[in-house]
Amino acid sequence: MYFDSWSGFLVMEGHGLYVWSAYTMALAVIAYNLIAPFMARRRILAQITAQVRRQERLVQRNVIVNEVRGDNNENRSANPENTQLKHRPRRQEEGSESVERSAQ
Amino acid sequence: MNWTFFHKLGSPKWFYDISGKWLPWLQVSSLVLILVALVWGLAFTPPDYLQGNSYRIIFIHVPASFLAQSIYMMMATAAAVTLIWRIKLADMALKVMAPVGASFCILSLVTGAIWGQPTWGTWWVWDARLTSMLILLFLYIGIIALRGAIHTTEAAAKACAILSLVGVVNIPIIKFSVDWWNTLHQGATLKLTEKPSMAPEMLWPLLLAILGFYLFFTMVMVLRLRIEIISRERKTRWVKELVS
Amino acid sequence: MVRGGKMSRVDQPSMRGFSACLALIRRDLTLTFRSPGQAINPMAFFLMVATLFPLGIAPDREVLSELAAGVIWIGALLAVLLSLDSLFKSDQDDGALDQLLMSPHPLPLLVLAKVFSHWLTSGFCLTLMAPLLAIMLHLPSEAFSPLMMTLLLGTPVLSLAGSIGAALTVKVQRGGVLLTLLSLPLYIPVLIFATGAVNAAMQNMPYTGHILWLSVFLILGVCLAPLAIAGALRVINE
Repeated sequence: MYFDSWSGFLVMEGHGLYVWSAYTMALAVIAYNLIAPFMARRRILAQITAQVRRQERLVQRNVIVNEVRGDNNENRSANPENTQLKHRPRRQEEGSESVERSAQ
Repeated sequence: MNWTFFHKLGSPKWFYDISGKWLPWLQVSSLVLILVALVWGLAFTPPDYLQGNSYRIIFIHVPASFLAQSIYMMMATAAAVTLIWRIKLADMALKVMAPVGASFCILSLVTGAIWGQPTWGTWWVWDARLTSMLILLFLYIGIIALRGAIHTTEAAAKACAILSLVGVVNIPIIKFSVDWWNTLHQGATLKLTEKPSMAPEMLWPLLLAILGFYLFFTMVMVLRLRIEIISRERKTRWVKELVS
Repeated sequence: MVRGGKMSRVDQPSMRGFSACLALIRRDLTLTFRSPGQAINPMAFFLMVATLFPLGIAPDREVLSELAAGVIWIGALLAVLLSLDSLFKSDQDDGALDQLLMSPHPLPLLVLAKVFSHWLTSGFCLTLMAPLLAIMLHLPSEAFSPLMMTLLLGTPVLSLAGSIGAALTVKVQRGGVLLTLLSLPLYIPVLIFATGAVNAAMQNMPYTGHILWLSVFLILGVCLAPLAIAGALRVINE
């Protein structure tokens, strides 16, 4: 321990205010980073449980018979919209080709 | 080469399961490290011969600055992965890193300003490093704002990825031009930190603090990623089972 | 068969792409001439911003000549930003942007043509107007030529860098402020070197280095920005 007393530790030879306010700020940022995810987690879990319950109610009323989809592993392939875009010019050509073919 | 590892890494469910095991270790180690480093730095190191006790802010300021800069680099990496391999997890990482990076950027700026008052006699100096850090904060704000403005997840992901890449190309240019501008204007010549001249009894707690802050960032990122995974995969069966 | 057809389209000499660019520039310029407000409003804004500074700070000759370079450059920067908002948005509204995205020519090239025509109607006009503002703000006469040179080299960079933001915000409702947030950090290097050159000239110091750096930024921008803009437009319109 460098300081000989608590008051010496708090005052820090006149620099205490700066040091302690900087450390308080660090504490605030750390606390924000810890609290924000927990708040978000609680909110999203509540949303999902509400959604699940709503769906169950609908299933009971036979409005939706089976809307529960399986695991959609979208990561395995590129997203479908994009592949569509890539294929677009090719499709046009295919179209024009088929027109030509039919003309022949 | 076996690529299943790579695909597994991109699977949100796999990440959710494995990160649940990492999380307690990360939480304990990061908080203990930060606590030890800061108490060591606050109470057990001798004061600086030039700056007195105010130099103790270094144990927050330097880790926060390092983190703010490297988080942006990590975001750019995640952006490249998002655009090239279209791995959803990379985009989630890009999204959750932005607010964390911005918070450490603010911490770095505020502690720098507080440190400036006893050292330079003024809260703010248009010093090259402080100015670059401020511009880095603007870059973070831009990415967060863009993410908030585009409502479709897919488009927002790629737009943010492009913006982070544009930003990372610009960071060296901005840094260079701000340094040039600073030398022209003869700003503050006093540097906050002079690394080689640091005594080892000050350096050790600093290194510990840097390690602790990085671990803390990893922990926060894992926490936020898990929430983001649940939020985006809410229609899948495993998330529904997890919740109920 | 299909692949062969596609390849021949891509392999065609870039003359086709070049003439498409010319047509695009002619179209954009015609549109601007039909509704000249698009080009005139930023210029009026530029003039008004320059008027506010003497009113807000002091009409002293020394103070103003000290500030002139910064005021003119910041005014130009904001005026370019204002005009960028409608660069892709009007095309998005009338469907011309979809045509652009579907055209067989390389998108970065077309985007470069669009940015060039935007620069002609904004940055270039602002450059022509700058001497008037320089006189109003008592800029010393030896600083006129560096001011014009930096504006000529720097405003295209502003158009290029800002177009990235404009492309990213093309589908955002009221994206003007967002566009500003995204673009201003990218404008900082240009601002630093341009005002640095003018201030160096006012102190009778060489400013070739600044001009060369601005040229480097311009070359970098011409090479890289169209790629980013084209990527952004594709991503947003997927």
